[in-house]
Amino acid sequence: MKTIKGMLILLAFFGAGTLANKWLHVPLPGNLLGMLLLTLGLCTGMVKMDWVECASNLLLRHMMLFFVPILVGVASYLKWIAGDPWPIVLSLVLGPLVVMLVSGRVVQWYLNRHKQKAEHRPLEGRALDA
Amino acid sequence: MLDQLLAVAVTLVGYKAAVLVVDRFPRLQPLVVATICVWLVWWLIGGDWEAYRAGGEWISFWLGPATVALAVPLAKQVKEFVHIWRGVLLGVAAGCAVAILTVRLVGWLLGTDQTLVNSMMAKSVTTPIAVELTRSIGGIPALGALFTVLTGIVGITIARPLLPWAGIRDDWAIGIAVGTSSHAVGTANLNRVSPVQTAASSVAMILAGVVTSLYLIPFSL
Repeated sequence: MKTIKGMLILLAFFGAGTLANKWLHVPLPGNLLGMLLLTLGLCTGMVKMDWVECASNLLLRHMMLFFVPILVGVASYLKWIAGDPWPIVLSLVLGPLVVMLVSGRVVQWYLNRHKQKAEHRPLEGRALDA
Repeated sequence: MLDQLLAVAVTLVGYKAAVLVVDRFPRLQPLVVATICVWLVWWLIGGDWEAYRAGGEWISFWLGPATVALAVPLAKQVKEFVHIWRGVLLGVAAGCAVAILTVRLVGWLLGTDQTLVNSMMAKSVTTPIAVELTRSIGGIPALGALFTVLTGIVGITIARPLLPWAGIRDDWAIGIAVGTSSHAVGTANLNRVSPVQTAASSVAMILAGVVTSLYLIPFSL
């Protein structure tokens, strides 16, 4: 019962995000807008975590499933790839590799520096947490 | 209509089978196994691909609410994010720039067809944004969606050996690396590991979508 109620709330936010994208011409897709709206709702306490937690866990656990039809459905495009495969293969492998390294290293570097600072000034760090 | 219901049933059964297989062999990627299972079954029973595409939309529709559901891990980590947002934004912005540069560089070096290059430029951002962006810069949207999902699969496959090797160890660094490079596929994959990484990955996914949209403005028609 709780899951159904949560699912309806998630659908409502998805609908709201989609409408905001269509009518207000916000340049982000409806699902991302819906996610931002719900995050806002949860952080301000307008939506209780308890209402949506079950439904959210259910959807996130099976998120992979929702990608399957996209992948199966575009199998007919494989002809495009077979014609000239190297640029595609190279981009597909190189892209995520380099992006992962760059973004991950930058954040790791920042976090390391952040931690060092906190160690040097423990009092200030604690004041921030409190 | 009956065809479409059959497509839904085959997809659900294929996914369930893939989950069982991956439980036995955790090194395999559930998304790849499920896709192969479903594709094989549909091919074996001689199903119509148009009907599959129509039926499949009943399932891929749920990608929308599932993305909204990411708000739950996100809201739980908001305090942490506010603390380190500068580093996160820097990492995502650098990653998105590199994503576009590699595609253009490879395209230029190998003399690739411009439409193909345009269809690949948005491949690191989440599927719905990638489709819109691909359309706006003169690529083929369906091809853009395919490259996006494939990028995600490559990303989650290389993440496990690559990240520890590169000294990327903190939850936030891992989440941002995976979210920036392999969007929702990566995020869905992290959900099996850690809620903090899932939240970081959702943050990266949103920011990457916004930043990449901005980067691609000069290329839009």
